[in-house]
Amino acid sequence: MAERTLRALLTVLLMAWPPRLRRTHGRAALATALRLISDARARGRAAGLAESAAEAVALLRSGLRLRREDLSAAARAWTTGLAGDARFALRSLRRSPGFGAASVGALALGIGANAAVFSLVEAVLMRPPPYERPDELVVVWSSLPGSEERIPVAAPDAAVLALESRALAEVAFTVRGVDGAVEVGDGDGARHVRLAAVTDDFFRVLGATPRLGRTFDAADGPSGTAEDGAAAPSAVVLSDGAWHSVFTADPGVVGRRIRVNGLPATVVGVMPPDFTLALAPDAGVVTDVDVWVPVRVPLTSFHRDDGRLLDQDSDNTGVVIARLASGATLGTARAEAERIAAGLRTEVPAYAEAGLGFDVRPLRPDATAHARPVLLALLAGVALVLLVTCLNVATLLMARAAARGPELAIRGSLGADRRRLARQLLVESTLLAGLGLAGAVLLAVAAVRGLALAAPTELTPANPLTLDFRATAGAAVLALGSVFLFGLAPAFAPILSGSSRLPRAVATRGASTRRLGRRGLVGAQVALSAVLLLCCGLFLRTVTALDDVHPGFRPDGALSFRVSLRAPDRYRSPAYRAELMDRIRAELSDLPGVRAVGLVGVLPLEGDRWTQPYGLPGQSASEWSANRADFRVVTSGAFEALGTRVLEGRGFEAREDLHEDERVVVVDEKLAARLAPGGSALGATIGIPLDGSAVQARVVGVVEHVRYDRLDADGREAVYVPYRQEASRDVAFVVRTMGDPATLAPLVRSAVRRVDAGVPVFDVITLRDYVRAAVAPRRFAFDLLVLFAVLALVCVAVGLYGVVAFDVARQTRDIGLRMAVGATRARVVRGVLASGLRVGAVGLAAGVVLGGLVARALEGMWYGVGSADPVVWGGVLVVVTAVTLIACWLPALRASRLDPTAALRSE
Amino acid sequence: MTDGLPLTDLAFNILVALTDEELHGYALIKRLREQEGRELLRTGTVYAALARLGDQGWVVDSEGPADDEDPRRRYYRITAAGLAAARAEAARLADVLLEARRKRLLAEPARG
Repeated sequence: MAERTLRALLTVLLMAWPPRLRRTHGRAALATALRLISDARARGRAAGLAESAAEAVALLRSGLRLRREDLSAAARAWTTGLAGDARFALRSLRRSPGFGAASVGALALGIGANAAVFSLVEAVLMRPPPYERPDELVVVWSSLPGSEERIPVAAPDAAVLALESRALAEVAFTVRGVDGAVEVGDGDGARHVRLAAVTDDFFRVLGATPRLGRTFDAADGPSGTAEDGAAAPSAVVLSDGAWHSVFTADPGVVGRRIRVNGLPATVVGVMPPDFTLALAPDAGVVTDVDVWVPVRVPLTSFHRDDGRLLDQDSDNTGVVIARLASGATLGTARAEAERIAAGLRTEVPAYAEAGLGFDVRPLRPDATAHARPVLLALLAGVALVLLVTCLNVATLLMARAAARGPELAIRGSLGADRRRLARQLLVESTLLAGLGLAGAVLLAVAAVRGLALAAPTELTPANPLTLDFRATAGAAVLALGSVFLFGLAPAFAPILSGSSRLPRAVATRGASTRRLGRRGLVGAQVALSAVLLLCCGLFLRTVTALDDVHPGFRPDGALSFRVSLRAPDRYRSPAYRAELMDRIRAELSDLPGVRAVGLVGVLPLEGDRWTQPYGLPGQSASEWSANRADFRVVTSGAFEALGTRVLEGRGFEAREDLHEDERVVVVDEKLAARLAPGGSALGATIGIPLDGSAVQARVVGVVEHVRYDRLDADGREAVYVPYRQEASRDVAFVVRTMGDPATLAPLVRSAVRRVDAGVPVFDVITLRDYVRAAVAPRRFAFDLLVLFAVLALVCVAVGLYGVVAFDVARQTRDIGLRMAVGATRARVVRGVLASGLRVGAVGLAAGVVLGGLVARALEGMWYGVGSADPVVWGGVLVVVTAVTLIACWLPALRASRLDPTAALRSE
Repeated sequence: MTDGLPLTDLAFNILVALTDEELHGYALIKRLREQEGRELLRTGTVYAALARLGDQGWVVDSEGPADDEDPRRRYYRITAAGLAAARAEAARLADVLLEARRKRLLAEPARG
């Protein structure tokens, strides 16, 4: 190889050497190597080649080894340095416990609270339900023009949909959950369960797999039934809850013979614990199902109740669950459903008059729509808390950096270079971040448990709530980002560290920039806290307004419970049912302390609905559909028991509970006002649907209006018919007592048992608790928001205190000067307070603007209060000002206690 | 002073070679190649060892003797610290040898 090429090659290989050593020894090594090679060449060409190769390899290898040694030496030095930094960081944190506690606390709160709330939101709104490809699933409701209500679909209509729809590949139907009785055959008698009859493809459409056994197949449905199909045992599928509570989690439960509503049945499967069909709660369709039974007659054979204009209180209505065909979209499904509905309207005159249609909605979003506003509001609130805590930590770090200016300057003069300083700050920030994160995880775990307990049922997920790690990670990134950003800043921006190495002019300019920065951060915290406070105030007004709403009945002092007469062979005749209810009523009246007892078909605020059209005098049947009222069955004593005032006339009499001489109804004041504006509605007749035909009934009483649907909306007019007329199987009793109604609970069970031991008694609850549960979501949101607002305000107080105290310490000389030339202590205090208040005022102004926008955006949640309510705004002003004053109080006091001469002498 | 001890074999031998004279790289390698097992000692290896010795402050560059034919040549000289390190290592090795002799691994040197 030519000398020049060899030299070039060896030079290249020298690149492996660390630069420093290459500089010192490179040339000499090259020269020596070339000499050795030429020596070898003298002995022979082969020797020369071998020596060249060997030298080249040796150069490379030694160079790499040198580099490796250099690296491990550096790493060793770094680690020892790191250990020293860690010890220093720990010491300095211990020396300023206030700072440490405040910043770690703020981090833990911000991250932990966010993790917990987000876990809840994720579980309720975002976690996919346990179905196959849930995005393809839709739910179909019946709809009426001009209303957003979800109305259950009649079974025959579901059959039509299944038959004619192309966009919906599979259509299943579930009849509304009803109360039923299951006898397990162990001598314990009938146990109450929630039953739902479903088409045999129900589980298949959802794509849900059972935990034990199987779900239904075609043989369980109508096509599989033999001639005596109705008598053969039906297959049933159990929910996990029922399997545990009724069958004590017996692993051999599959194949067991039981009786359901008096009929023989066989258990064929058990569903997993997380399986549920979640639907919007206001549709009045019970989804908390214990036992599923298959529908064994074709849907088309169900009674549509033609002529009974739109009755939803029958067992023939339910929910259609369907899967979109491949290639079909929600839009095409909706359009097609409308076409099918139009076809139905030509067939069924009642539908045409009412304008009934179909409403196709995506399953999951529809089921969670009720929870979305509250949960998103909570998420926004806790996000604000996170922001406030981040700003707080930033403020604290900034102040600390400024306070450590002299220390850092000394270290700088002792030769610490920027990299070492950065490493020190990195270690400190990591320590802070680590402690904060640890605290956050602890807090989050506890908070999640608390949320799971405290959240109302509408806002809890189907499965147990666990901490979602994505949430923790997200919040942590933001919070810890601020820690590192502001913690490391002094190393990279000396202007932020107040190092006195800078020329005086720059240093003072830096000082005022820093001061502005700190005040800006605190001001931002004030603004965000004001927003939280505002929402708190609005929620408070909403909740108190809801509490004050007169719902049309008196919740205090009454107990309610439900019964269900489901066994078809035992409770077949309406007359018998009416008699049974009457005997129950009599037994209850005999209980000690009872003032009134009545039967109510549907409790207020239940969300269950029985809405029908009615006719004003002189209207033809076709004009009825314009009037819709809530129909309720009641017995005598119902109004007294509920505490609903009878304004005119009377309620039903005891005799009318069992005998119907004449068709009579009681109406509420709203309807009475329509019936006879300005006059009395007593004696007037209205038309009501009954058993498929239109009948006339005489008004014998007018009662006050009851809010059946929701507390915060007035609701519809109501028509009360005697129980005997409908003889519904599922009813509620209300018992009004003189003492504490809760004590009556065991007594009512035994009272009913005395009449008929086979009648299940359930949902025993005082009316007051029942109403409270209706307000629960808003109250829950309020409670959490109060917590958030308090947290934010604490951060504000700490931050403002820190900033003001720091400034006072910095301005000791100036204050001393002012006092020396005559300023009184009071003036000094006023000055400090004023400077603090200025920060608060600016923050409040920003908060007002932001808060106004937020309140407007959440318009739908407020009740009884406008988003610009002056009382609430005034309250926010007062609270923020108070917190500001309290935070500045201590520093102001300290400033006023300064000894002027000492102050003047200080630096 | 205790940093860097015990010396590697090569480092010790370099120090020994430089004890009584300054040497340049080529000469040093030639000298070392005379030792048993070091016939094929390479440049890179030696200069790497020299670099480490230089870091320790035991070997420094030197001008070299005035009568050197090539003024560009780099000479290496041992320092006082280097001498001390070499002495310490020699003493340590002597102790090891003593033990080896005691255990009859090595014959006693001839007296006289």
